[in-house]
Amino acid sequence: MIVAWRPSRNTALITAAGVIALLVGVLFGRADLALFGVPLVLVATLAERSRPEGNTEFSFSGLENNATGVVSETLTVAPAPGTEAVQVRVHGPGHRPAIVVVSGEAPQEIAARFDSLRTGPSPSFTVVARGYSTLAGYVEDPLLLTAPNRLVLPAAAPLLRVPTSRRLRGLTGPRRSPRLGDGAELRDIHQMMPGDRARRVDWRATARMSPELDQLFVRRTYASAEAGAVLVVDSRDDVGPDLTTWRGSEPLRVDQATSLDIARHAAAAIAAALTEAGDRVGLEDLARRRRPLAPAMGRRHLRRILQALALAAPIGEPSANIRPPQLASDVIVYLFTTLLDDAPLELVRSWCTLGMPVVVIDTLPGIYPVENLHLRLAWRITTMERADRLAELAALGVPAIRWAALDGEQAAERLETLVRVEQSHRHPSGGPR
Amino acid sequence: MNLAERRARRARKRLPSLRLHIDRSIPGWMIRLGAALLPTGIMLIALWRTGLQYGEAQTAIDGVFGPQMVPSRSATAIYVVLSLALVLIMFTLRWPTIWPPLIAIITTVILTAFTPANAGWGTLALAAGAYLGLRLTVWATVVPWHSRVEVAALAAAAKVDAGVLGITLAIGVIGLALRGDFDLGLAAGIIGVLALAWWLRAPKFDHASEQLHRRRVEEKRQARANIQSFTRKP
Repeated sequence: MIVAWRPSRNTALITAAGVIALLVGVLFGRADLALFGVPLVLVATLAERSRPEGNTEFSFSGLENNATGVVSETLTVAPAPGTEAVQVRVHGPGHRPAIVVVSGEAPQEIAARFDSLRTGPSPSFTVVARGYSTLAGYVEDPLLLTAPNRLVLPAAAPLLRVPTSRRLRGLTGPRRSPRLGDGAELRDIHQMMPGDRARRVDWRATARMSPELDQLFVRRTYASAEAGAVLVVDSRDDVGPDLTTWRGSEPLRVDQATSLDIARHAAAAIAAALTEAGDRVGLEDLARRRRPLAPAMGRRHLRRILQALALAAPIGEPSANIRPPQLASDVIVYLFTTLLDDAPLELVRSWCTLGMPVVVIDTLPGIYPVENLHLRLAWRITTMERADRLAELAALGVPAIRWAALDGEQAAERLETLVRVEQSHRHPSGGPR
Repeated sequence: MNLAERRARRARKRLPSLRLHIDRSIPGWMIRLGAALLPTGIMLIALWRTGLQYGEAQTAIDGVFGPQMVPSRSATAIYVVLSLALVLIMFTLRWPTIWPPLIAIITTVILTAFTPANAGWGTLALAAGAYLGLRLTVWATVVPWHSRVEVAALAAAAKVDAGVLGITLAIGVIGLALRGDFDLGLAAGIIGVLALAWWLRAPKFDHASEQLHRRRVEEKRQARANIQSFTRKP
């Protein structure tokens, strides 16, 4: 792209002023008056001859940094030869623009950074740059450059233990199944039965219990199994802590985490904890009508889940009727929702009816105080309705954990508490007491 | 809503700012403040050097025409220059352009014309200060209030300014040394400046024009050769 260097009026005006000063000196017959015109004429002449050649070039060399919290890019500016200074104006989404003026003698790098609590698709920097020659005699046309958008993945905060499904499946996995199998944990020593393998014979026990070797005894172990979990993210709404932005006419700020950001972080943390434990994790998005992520294990699947969480976003107005996702009966369901309507409650009732364990993560952010009376009344009514829904969840025996900024650090302890409560209610064999 | 809540609410309304990391820099408001104060300061110093007295002239006028009937010329001049200084400062602070320092320089030249001619060294300083004020104003047009300018950029421009000021001061010193022979000094100074300007503007030092001129000559030659090849009879 060819960009023009346009002459400004500075050189002509300064030359005119210098000539006037010289003429006044001649008219009054005084050399000291003419001296005022000397530097003006000289510098105007220098500015006129120093027309820059070529264009200022600049490019982004972004760091591979998709972590939440900081978006950073490195801008490389290569001024055109003859440029005295380059004005660089950098815009970032939801931030006040920053302007710097750098030297035009040599290429240099400018590190740009802004803080953002938002996750998901995130626009990056936009830069407008303009070169100036000596005395701003020639001014370059503004050059525009936009950095590529980023997908900011949610951060998986470390958790202790998280509740898992009571019903295990399969014959391999990290957990101990109450059934007999080929696990590592000893169940008992039993007489050898048809079907038992010879290498399972415990010769010491046999020698102790049947010295004449008329009966062999084998070591029987528990089977190992795996647990499954499905994360159901209610991405139908994305609300921030400022009630005035809920109607959608004002943009959400990047330094305020919304309910969807909280849901993404919570889901990422729980998915990471389950994956670390070797369980299968699946993902359902209530707002999008596409195939869910089937439960699977491993770090690659965790990466897939984080990617899908980052792409979860509301589409249009939130729908009141949600088709319940098809889930296996032996999984535990984690529902991430704001509980601003009754649709999640209907889902929970249907799952509880099927006997599936459910944990609800309340993702509503802490709301800022409002001055407007109407908004205050509306929020009060909404709070009361949410309290009713939470009470009904408690009546169903479904734990609801609030994951807002203040409670996020305590959420790990709440989840650990749930696990211990569940363990204390279980029979040592694995069934309920 | 108490004070803490009001402060928190105001902080929430203010958008966060980007962070740009560059080498050593100074804030833009310093450039703009200097551009507003230096030219007008030079102008006011020139006014002071004229020796215009408000009180004595006003007393003399009042004695002739009656009290407060006619403002003295010196009082008028003082009012005009002070008002001009205020306007130039406000204008430069808000919308910096090249006009305020140029107006200040012309006004300084006119006021210096009414200054006794033997105050030559002070005029040298005023000329240098006026030029620096002009350069600061040019920078103020490039550097907004809430921006930062690299010290390296100012230093690179300062080399040019040092050269210009050096030549100016050299001419001034020579002129003052030849003060006894006025005509010779004035003529030598003016001729020297014009010769220097002509030497700098000579085409052979304008590389961009030189290349453009060569390219055009080459294109004309090529076009002539093409026409001759088309019109040549087989």
